[in-house]
Amino acid sequence: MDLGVVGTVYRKELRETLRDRRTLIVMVVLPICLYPIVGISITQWIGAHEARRGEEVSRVRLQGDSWPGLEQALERSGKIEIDRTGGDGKRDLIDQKLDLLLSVPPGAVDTLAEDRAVRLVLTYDETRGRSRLARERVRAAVDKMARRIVKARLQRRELAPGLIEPLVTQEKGVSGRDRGRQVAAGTVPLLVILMVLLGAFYPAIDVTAGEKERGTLETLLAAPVDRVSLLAGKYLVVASTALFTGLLNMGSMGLTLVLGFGPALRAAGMSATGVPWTAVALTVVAMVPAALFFAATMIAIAALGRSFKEAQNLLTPIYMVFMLPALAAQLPGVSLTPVIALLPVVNISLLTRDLIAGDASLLPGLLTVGSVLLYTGVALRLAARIFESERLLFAPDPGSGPRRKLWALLLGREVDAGPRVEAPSSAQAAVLFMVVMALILLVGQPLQSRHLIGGLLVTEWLLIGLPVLLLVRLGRLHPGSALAIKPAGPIAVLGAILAGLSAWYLVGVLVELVQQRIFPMPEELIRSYHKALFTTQRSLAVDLFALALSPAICEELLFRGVLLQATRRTMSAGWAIVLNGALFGLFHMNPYRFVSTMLLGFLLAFIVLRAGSILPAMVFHFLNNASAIVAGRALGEQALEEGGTALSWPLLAGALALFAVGLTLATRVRAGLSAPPDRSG
Amino acid sequence: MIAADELSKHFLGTLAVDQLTFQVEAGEVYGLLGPNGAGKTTTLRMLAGLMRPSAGRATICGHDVQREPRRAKRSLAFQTGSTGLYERLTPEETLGYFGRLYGMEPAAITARVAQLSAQLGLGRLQGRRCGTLSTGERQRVSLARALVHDPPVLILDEPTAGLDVMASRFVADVVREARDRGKAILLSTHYMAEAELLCDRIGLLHRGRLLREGSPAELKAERSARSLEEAFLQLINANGGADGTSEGAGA
Repeated sequence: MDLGVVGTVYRKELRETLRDRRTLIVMVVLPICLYPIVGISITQWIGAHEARRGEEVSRVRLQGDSWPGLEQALERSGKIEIDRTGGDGKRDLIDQKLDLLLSVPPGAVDTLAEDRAVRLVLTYDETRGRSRLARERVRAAVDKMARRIVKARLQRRELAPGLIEPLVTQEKGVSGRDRGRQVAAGTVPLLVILMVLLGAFYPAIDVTAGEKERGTLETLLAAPVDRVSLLAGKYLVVASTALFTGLLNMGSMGLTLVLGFGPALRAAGMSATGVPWTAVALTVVAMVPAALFFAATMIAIAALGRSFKEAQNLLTPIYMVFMLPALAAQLPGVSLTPVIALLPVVNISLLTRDLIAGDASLLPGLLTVGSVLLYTGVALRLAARIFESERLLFAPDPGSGPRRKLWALLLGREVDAGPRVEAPSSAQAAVLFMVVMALILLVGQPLQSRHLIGGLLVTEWLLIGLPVLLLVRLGRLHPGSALAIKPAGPIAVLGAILAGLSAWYLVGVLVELVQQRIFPMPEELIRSYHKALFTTQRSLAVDLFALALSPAICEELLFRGVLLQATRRTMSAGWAIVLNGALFGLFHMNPYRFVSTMLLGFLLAFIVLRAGSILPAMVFHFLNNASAIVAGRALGEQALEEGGTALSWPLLAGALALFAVGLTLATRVRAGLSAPPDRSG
Repeated sequence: MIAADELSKHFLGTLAVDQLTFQVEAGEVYGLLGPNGAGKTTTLRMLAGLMRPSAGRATICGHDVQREPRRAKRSLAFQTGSTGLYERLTPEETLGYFGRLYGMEPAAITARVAQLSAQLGLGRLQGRRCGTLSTGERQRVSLARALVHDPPVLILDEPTAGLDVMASRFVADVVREARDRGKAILLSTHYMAEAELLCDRIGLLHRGRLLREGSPAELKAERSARSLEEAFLQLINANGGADGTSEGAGA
C-alpha cells in the first residue's frame, strides 16, 4: 500500500463527498435539524400538560351548611377557588361556569363532633377534563382533612396511629442509576447505528458503483497505483463520513438534551442529573469500530453494483438487515455476554447501551471491538477482491442459469418471469378483503375480547398476513409488483420515519378539534381504549410488536399491497387512494375511528404510489402506531383526565414541519435517485 | 513503443481477442478498426493494464504490462470511450488529482496544467465543475487529464464517439500534434473516414482477430476498393460475415 496514494485519493474523495447534496443532507442538515425539532416539540407537549395542570384553578361551590373548616382545607390545596356566588349549581356546571359542586349535609359539623361520618356529595361534569380534575383535587383535599380528623380522634382516645394504619410502606431504589440514562441507553444505540449506516450509504455507492456509472473507474485504474491503495483511500472517506454523521447526531442530541430537553425529561419523571460525559466519550469510542465496520460492509456490497441504482438496490436490504439487530439494545434481558459479543451489529448495539447506562464490562467490550474489527477486515478483504476482479469491475455479464437469477434477485433486475402475473385482479382483491373481514368478525374480534394481545397477533398474522401470502402463492402473483415489495431509497425511508413520527399527533389534534365537536366518542369508550392500549402492565416490547410492528407489516401487505396494486390497474391514482383510505377506515370497524384511520389510509396509499414501494408505508405505519403507544403510556391517566390530545401551538407547528419534510422526502426523492447522474459521452 | 504479442482474452467461454499481434512505433498513429464487439476495447484494456490477458504479452516502452504494471502505466495515457469525469470536481482539480496519482511533483503539475490549458483552451472553464460542462468541453478536459503526465504513449478508445464536427476536428488536431512530437498513438474507432484521415496504419479487427494490417492506401489497393469502408466490408464478408455479436463483453 502506498500511503501517498491513499492520502491523495482520500482528499479527492472527501472533497467530492462534501460537495454532494444528498450526503450533506444526511450527514449535516438532518442531525442538526432533527433533534431540536423533536426535542422542542416534546418539551412543549409535556410543558403544555404541566401548565394546564398547574395553572388552572378549579372553581368549586359549596352547597348546604356553612363549614369554614372544609373551606380552609380546600383552599389550602392552592388549586381550588371557592365560588361564593349562589344560583343553580347544576346549571352552572353544565354552562362551565363551575367545575364542581360540593354538597354539605345539614348539621355536618355536629355529626363530625359526635365521631360519626359525614357524606359529602361531589357533583361534576364527567365529560369535561377540567371538571374531572376538580374532582381529583377536591377528593385529595377531603382525604387529607379526613386523615387529620382520624388522627385527632385517636389522640383523644390516647390510641396510637398504628391502630388504623398497621402497615406502612417505604420504597428505596438501590441501583443508584439515573432513569434518564436508562432511557437514553435504550434508544441512543439504535439512533447511532441508523445514523452511522445512513452516513455511509451514499458515499459508499458514490466512490464505487458511482465511478463505474460515470465511466471514471477505468481511467482511475489505468493510473500507476495499486488498487488496494485506491480502495483504502475510498474506504477511509466512507468511514469518516459515517463517523462524522454519527458524531454530529450525538452532538445534536446532546445539545438538545442540555439546552431544551432536560426539563422535559425531568417532567416525565426521568431525573436527568446532567449529561454523563464519560458515557458520551465512551459512546464516541464505540462509534469508531461501528463506522469502520459499516463502511467496510457497505463499500464491499456497493462495489458489486454496476450503476448507482444497482448499488442502491443491493444496499437497501443490507440497511434493513442491519436495522433489526440494532434493536437489540431495546430488548430487556439481553445482555452482552462473550458469545453475543461476537454477533455483528447486536454487539455494537448492546455495547453502546451498556456504555451509556454505565455498566459495561471489560471482557465483552474488548471482544466486541475485537470481533467488529475482525469482521471489518473480512469485509475489506472482500472489497479488495472485488476491486481486483476485472469481471466485477468491467460490466460483468450475469451469465446464465442460476447465477443470472441470483443477480436478478440481488440487483432487482427482471427475472425470467414465466407465467407469473404482475398484479392481482380487482376481483381477487375484493374477495380477499371480504374473506379477511369475515375472518376478523368471526374469529379475530372474539379472540381479542378474551385476550387483547394474543387476539391481535392472531388477527394480524393468521387472519390478514396469511391470506395475503396464500393469494400471492396460489394466484401465482409476482410478489414484487403484486405487493409493491421493492427496494426503497433510504431518503424515502427517512421521510417515512419523519412523517410517521409526527402524523399521529396531527391526526389526534384533528380528531380533537373537529370530530370531538361533531361526533364525539363516548367517554366510556375512550376510557376503555386507553385502559386496554396504554397500560404499562405489559412490556413495551410486546406492545410495540403486537400493536405497531405486526399491523405495519400485515395490514400494509393487504391494503397497500394487494388492494392498492389491484385498484391501481383499473382506476386513477386519486380514486385508488380514496378507495384505499375508505376501506382502511372501514376495516377498523369503529365509527369513531373511521375518519382518522381513513386519513392515515390516504397518506399511506399516497406514499406507496409515489415511492413505488411498500417499505416506506410499513415504516410510517409502524412509527405512527409506536409513537402513539409510547406517548399514551408516558402520559397515561394524565392524558385521559385532560381529554385527549393536548393542543399546543409550538408542538403543532413542530409536528407539521416534521410531517411536511417527511412527506416531501418520502414521496419525491426516489424519483430523483433512480435517475442516474448526468452522463454524457 | 506499443507491442501486442499473441494477445488473447477469454470471457466465460467466448474468445473476445484471439492471438493478436501488432506494434505501434514512435511518431505513428495506429488505428484499430472494427465493428462493435470486435474486441477493440478489450485489446486496449489489456494494453493499458486494466485486464489480464488470458494468453500473450503486452508491452509499453519495453515494460511488460503484467510484470511491471507501474512503469508501463506511467508511460501511458489512457482515455476511455466515455468522457467520464468527476462531476463535482473542477478541471484543475481533476488534472491535479491525476497528476498526483501519476507521481508528479506539485510544481510540475502546476506548470503542466498551465501548458495544457493553453494548448487545449481550458482557460475559460476555470472554476466550473465538470458536471456543468458541455460534451465538447468535457472531451477537452478528458484529453488534458489523459495527457497530464506527458507520456510517450497514447491509447485512445473511440476518442471522437459522440462528438460534433468541431470537437472531432479538435481531437484529430491534438492527435496529429502528439504524433508530430514523436508519441506513439493507438486508437480504436469504427468511423472509417476518420481512420482513413488520421491513421498512418490500420489494423482491421473482426471477431477478436486481426484480419489485415497496413496503411489505408495499402488496404484499399489490396481489395481494389475505392474507400476503406468498401475494403473493410469485402474483407469481413470473405471471413464469415458481419455476425460479430458473439464477442461478448468486448465493447
